[in-house]
Amino acid sequence: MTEPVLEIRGLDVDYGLGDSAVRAVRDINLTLHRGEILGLAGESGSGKSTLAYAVTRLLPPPGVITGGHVHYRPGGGGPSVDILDLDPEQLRAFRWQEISLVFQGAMNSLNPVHTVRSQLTDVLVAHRPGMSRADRNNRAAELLSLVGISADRLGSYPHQLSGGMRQRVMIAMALALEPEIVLLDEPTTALDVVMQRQILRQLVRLREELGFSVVFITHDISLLLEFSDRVAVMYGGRIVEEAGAKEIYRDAHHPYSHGLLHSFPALHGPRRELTGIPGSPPDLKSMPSGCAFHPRCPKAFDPCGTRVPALTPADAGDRSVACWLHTEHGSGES
Amino acid sequence: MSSPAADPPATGNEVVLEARGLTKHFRVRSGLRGLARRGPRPVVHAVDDVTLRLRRGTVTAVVGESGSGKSTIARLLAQLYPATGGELLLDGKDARAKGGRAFRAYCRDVQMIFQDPFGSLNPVHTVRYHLTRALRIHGRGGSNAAELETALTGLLGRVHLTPAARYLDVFPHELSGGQRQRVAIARAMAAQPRVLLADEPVSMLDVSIRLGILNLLRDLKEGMRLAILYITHDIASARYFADETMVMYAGRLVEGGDSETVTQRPAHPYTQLLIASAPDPDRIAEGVGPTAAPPADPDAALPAALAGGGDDAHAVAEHEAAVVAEAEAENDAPGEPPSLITPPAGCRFHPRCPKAMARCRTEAPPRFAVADDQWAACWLYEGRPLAPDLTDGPGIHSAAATHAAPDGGQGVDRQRADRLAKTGDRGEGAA
Repeated sequence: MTEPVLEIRGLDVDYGLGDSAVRAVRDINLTLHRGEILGLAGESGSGKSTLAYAVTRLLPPPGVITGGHVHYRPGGGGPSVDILDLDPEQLRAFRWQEISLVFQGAMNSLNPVHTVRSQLTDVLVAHRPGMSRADRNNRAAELLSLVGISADRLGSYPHQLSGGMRQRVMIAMALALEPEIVLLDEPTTALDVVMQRQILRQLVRLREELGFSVVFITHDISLLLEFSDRVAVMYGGRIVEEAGAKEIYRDAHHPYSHGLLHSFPALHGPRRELTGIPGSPPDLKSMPSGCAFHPRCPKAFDPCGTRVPALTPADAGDRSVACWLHTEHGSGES
Repeated sequence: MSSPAADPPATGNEVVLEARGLTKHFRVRSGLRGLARRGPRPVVHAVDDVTLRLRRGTVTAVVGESGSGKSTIARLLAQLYPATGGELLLDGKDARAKGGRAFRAYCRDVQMIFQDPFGSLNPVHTVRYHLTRALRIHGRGGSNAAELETALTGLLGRVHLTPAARYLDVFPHELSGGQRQRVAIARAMAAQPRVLLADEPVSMLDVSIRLGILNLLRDLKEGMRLAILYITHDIASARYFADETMVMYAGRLVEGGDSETVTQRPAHPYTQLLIASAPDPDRIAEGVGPTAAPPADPDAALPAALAGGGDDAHAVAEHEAAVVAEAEAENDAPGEPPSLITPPAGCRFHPRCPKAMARCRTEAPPRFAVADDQWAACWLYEGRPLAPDLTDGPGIHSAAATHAAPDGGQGVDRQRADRLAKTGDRGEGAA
């Protein structure tokens, strides 16, 4: 495994203040290694998008980061920075230069009254003040061809492009400053499967060429498993399991991951029995005590209702699980 | 591969709702510039020449990308839109109703549930109001309060929202997405329909609760012998849930048949592309790393391995494996779905099709029978018999296909073919 590029330690995010606060993300510990694709899985409300916004400090107002650290280690051995300590000026320089984000529903994030050229060069105007206009245009053309769009589309307005092309423009924009980390928040949900695969393939290829790391967020777990190197599964604002994509697919330790994997039908192979998960996701305003999953868990036992299991390493340390079934493994439960 | 679903008379799954050559063109609204333009106003060819049948106790899936016209089919079948052409038959009788009594009677038999359970329930009314209204409108509310209460409890019980008392007097915002969709299903069940049109019923729900809704629909199908149309973009769920699957591309049905056959041995190049593109974690399980673009996709090997059957099936599978591999190879630039205002002539998939031939550019292919219970509208299968649904005397089918006539001509042919099939195959044994 390569060196870490982003280390999230004990991150807490609330929406609102005081007693009425909704604790959307709790005690997240996560490490992103250089050049890897880390998948974040979870249902709506599990806190995966909140986590992405917190890491880039883009949380909209009621959202408050109440604790933790996010250490960013730039390539080439520079000193590590805590993103949460940056002042606004530093933050402005940091974002997009080091971490860029492709938003959910990115196809609609383009400004309809500006051409693709002016939106792509805008990034360069802001971050590369010394660049000449001709250089900026060349760079914009280069970026478009990077994502497989011919450069003569630079003069187009967003409505003249198809959904897939708009999404590619967004990805090109995210890569404009050659960031170390790209966060993809449901980058392909609005697209159909054929386009989705094309875009993700391209992204994987670009990652090989340019060597950035990716945090890939989606609720489509089969897609996530296929494209990620490692997967972290979130439930009720916490990470419940983290492991290699293959390992999780073959043998999920946490009952929630297991349930998630048995919730979608397979396209090939024998028609396996699907179990799904009974009940519905927790309400963040009134979270169950103990493990948030215990009311829906088929394997819940004594400690689950009262104590929150910590994310602890299992299986020689390359995966971790937050489940009483696995944390007290040695002591033997019944 | 066994196919109980595609064998209607044997299981008594008679056709309830049938569409023949159903066509819907939407007029494009033109601004001032449009007024100055001469010639016919442009139309969007949302659905062209769609022929399908919904049978009792059977789930029929229509799979397609966004914009392929699959939701339009559901709305046409629910008669929420008037069709531009084609026929709609309920129990073999013309069912087109403009409104009023005839439309309400039609609604009693054909109900629809929508994609978004957040939008399809009125936020200012309770569950009780929604269900009572549906029961009253369809005359199932009983004559007094006690009967109404029993009917309400029964409805909620049927969608597994128990105890009913806990759900009757709550507002939609107090329910989770899955519960809301259950209420929407209960409301549809209030009419005691025979046909349920489900337009992407689970795509807005969380992954872990999708299965519960699909299983509920399956219970209803089995318990009430409902004919269900399942509209989806997720071909894997069609395999799991539907008996029959049809694949739609740019307003036309391109392939259909038994779900297992269509998903495991896709015949039409578009279906092959769709299946090759669907996310499939088995790819990593089989050791194809997520990083490398796989040169030979495991998909290519799978249909061949699964085909099993006779020599013919094997040959077909091999051929398909090649097609899939090719589609994969070209996957980097397969283009995009065409504009439906000026759809391509001939087969609408030909601009993206790795197998396109000269003929594909000019003539729309008819439905060729690929296997016993599978057809594909693709010239690759020319020479095979036409799908039993469409066979008739020579000449008619090709004419119908070439001009894509949305008239009743094909329907009549099909009826005749059906009669022939019945008397030929099973009529003797049964009589």
